[in-house]
Amino acid sequence: MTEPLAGERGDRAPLIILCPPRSFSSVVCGMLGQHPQLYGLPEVNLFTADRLAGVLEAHRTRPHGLHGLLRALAQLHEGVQHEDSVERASEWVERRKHWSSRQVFDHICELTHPRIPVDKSPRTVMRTEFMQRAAKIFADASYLHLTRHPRSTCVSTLSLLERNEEWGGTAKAGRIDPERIWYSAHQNIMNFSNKLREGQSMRLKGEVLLSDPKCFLPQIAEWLGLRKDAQAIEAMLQPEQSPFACFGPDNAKYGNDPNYLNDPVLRLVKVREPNLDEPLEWAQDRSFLPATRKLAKLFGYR
Amino acid sequence: MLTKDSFLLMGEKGLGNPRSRVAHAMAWFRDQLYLGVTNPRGDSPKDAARILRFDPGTMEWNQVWISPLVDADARSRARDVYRGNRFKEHRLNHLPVTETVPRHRGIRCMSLYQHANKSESVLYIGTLSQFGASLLMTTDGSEFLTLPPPIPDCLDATILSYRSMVAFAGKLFVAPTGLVDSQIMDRNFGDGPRLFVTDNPLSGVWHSALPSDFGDAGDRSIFSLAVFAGYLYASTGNPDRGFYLWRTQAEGDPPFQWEMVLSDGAWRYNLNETAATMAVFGGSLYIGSGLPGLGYDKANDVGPAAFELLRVFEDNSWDLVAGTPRFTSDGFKVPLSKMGPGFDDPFNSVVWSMTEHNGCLYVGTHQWEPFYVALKGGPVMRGGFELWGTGDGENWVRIVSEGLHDHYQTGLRSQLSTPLGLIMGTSNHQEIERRWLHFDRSTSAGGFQVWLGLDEL
Repeated sequence: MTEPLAGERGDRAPLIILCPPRSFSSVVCGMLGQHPQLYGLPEVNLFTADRLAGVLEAHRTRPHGLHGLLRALAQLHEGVQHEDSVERASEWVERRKHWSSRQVFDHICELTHPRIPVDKSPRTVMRTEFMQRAAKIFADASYLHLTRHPRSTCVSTLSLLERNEEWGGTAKAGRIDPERIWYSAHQNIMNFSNKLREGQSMRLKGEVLLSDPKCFLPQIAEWLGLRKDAQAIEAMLQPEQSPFACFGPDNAKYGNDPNYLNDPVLRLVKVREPNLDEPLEWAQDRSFLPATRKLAKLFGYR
Repeated sequence: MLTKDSFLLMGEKGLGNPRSRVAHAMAWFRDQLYLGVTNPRGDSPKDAARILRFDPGTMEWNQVWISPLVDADARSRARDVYRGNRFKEHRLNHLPVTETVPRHRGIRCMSLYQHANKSESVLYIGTLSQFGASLLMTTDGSEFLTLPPPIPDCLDATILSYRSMVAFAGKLFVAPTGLVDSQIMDRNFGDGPRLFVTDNPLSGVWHSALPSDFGDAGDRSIFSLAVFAGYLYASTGNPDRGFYLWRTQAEGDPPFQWEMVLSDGAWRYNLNETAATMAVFGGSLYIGSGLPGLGYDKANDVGPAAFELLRVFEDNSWDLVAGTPRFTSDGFKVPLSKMGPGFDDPFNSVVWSMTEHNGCLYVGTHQWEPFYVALKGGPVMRGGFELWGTGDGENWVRIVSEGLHDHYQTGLRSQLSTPLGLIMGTSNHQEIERRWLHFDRSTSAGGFQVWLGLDEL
């Protein structure tokens, strides 16, 4: 497959959601992906390596990190996700380990065409080089920098890590500093997005989007140059309609936040924002570090 | 619209005192120009605040008021909060302190006010002082009286300055800005927003214009005032959330009812820490934001960032004129000028002055690139204040850059539309040159400048 030059994709450059884990990215991607001109992907994690072999290797100890890619390929190839179609997607991947991540993403773009893919792979923000790889592949990609209050992000991170063994994860909650993950991920995103052209990356608090999606979804559509009529907005209020808004077959069960997979229906309620000042739930002898507080205030948290 | 060739130098070298670095406040009163001058420190008799008057008939400047002197004490060398950590014990300045120092080292605002049943306006003046700011007034431009303070004596001595003063609805409003004690001087923030109102400044009877539950918990001062569309607009300085903008019709007895117009730094949060300047133009109120120092509020760890320019309409809708595109509760905002923060210049940290003159709106900036060049040891000095202009509020032209031939004029601190033309006063930082070229202290002579912009020169 001949690789098109960056920039030739123009109308197909994806929307890439940048955020640390536990930042509402599953539901937000589910919502945006229901727009008639968008296609919400599960976590495909394709920007973590240059070649598909590298992506597979990066997930050798956490195979659930490949569930999103397998589910996406199964859905896009066969229109259905069951054990057989996922198995064939897995074989497809195995035969193309030599492909570049760009080729795989191009393949996905062709299959979603004319809908624009929406990527939400939280691992992308763990290293600046992953985001730079995305920018190299898709010079015209748009980036939505999604934020969530560091306290609720950290609490949610630790809560999910307590269940890590359910999906084969190895990280232990007690050995993880969730504040550091929140800070370094957002700092990576800031360092990356500061070098993009004005308007290519937009930041949005997840709390305000989920509290008032009818206000903010049309703005996202406007930013991307997409339809923002009532039908399009109403479709985005139904993330549960996404083919990836439920658990997959046993051989690719996840690919999104398990809580979202369990209950993907959007509830129009005000999402509470906690505060920065009180002691940390997971380290009662201290509060957030000054650098975290500064970044959080820059994002509009108090 | 004025061009770069429209300007005549009206005054330079601090008009008789090169230590006078800021042409801080201006008023056109009784057909003459009054200029309030501020000195950066207050530890020498030479740092006395002055009021200068320019007579268009004789084309001469005269000093009409100078601050009295008082005995020096620790306050005269209180450390600027932006140059240290406010939560640490502060090393006292090693500069020598003379036996006497000025009671006031600056003039930060001026406003005309017409008393009830009087045919002529009176000029009111707000000072900047290490020992607690004062209000002055003059009826004839020659004799200046010190007014009773608008706030209780116990607080008066902690008020660094009065930054904003506006006449509205038959009343005079004045806002204190900044705090000072024997250790610390904070030019921009205090312990909360305060705004005082009176219908007779001479009576000494002032009231709080703000209810006790006014604003956001992070508000640290009232930073600017403006009158637009039958309302008084007040902005708060807020390092946690960004500025808030409120308005009132000032009906009934104070405290008045206020309506919030903008919050959270207009969704840019604390990078829009203050709404430094406001001006009415073309049916809307223009708001210029800013961060102190070199675009970074060191005391509160906010920034760095360049300013934004916004405009609000009578119905509370608003536009982003120059700044960062963003999603807001009022819709998707993109800069109408197609320029980002600082008019695409990261060194433009504050909109320091803004006024309408002959159908155009002019914005004067603080541009701190000369500091950057000096600190980095760059081979060529660059930067200095900029003046931008527009005829429609959306298409902007840079009229003046590089400090109008003097890089060390880093800020355009004041502007005034007068029958003479557009008058502009600068802020000078000649000490940059000393640092950059490793000059001996004695070789550096600076002082503010005053420029006159003429439509037809």
